[in-house]
Amino acid sequence: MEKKKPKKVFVQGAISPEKIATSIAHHQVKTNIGAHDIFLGQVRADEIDGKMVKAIDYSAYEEMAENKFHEIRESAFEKYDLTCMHIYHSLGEVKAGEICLFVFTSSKHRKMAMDACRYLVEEIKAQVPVFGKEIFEDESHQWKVNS
Amino acid sequence: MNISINYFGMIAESTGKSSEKIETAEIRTVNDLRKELVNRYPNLSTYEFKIAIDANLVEDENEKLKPGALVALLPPFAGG
Repeated sequence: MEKKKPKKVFVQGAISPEKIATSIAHHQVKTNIGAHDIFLGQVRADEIDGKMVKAIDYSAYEEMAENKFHEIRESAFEKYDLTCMHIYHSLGEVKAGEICLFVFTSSKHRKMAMDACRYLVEEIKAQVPVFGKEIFEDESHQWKVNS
Repeated sequence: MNISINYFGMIAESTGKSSEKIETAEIRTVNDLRKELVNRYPNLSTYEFKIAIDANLVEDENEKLKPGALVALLPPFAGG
């Protein structure tokens, strides 16, 4: 079963729209699915003290993060009746406007897919040791903190 | 006691290193280690950070440290 297999979550750099499209296409053979929900996190070009964020450089305590992703996946499979679930998160530099988080849940019906997707995103933001350095156009930086 | 420490994000920037090993007879608990590190790196007192031992967050910093522990100093998370 898919849910027992530890999965690699981190990808180097931005998550491409093509990867997302391909992932959707791969589910067309799974005809017991009736609903998908997708969350895409995108790097925002915030203006802070007159300077624009041009990219976020992500780093992580990878061993702990992979364990946390696994725990969060398992708990989502227990709480929600899902057919499958995919999580990808960027490491390294992701430019403003590019995608850094891709959460994809599939179920027979919309409520499970939507509830699980929201649950996953909130848990990832709260529990996974990922760190983000916001790089400004003048190459100075500050550290991002999730609100 | 031998302890390995990994620093992440703004904490690594503040200490100027991503990891180190320290050896000390003084440290018994996680809280002792926190005090010792703030002593070595006074800038750390201005940061908020959590401590993980062997890739698990420490709930109670009165917990005793074991020799060979792999410690991580984790600033606020910023995933997604």
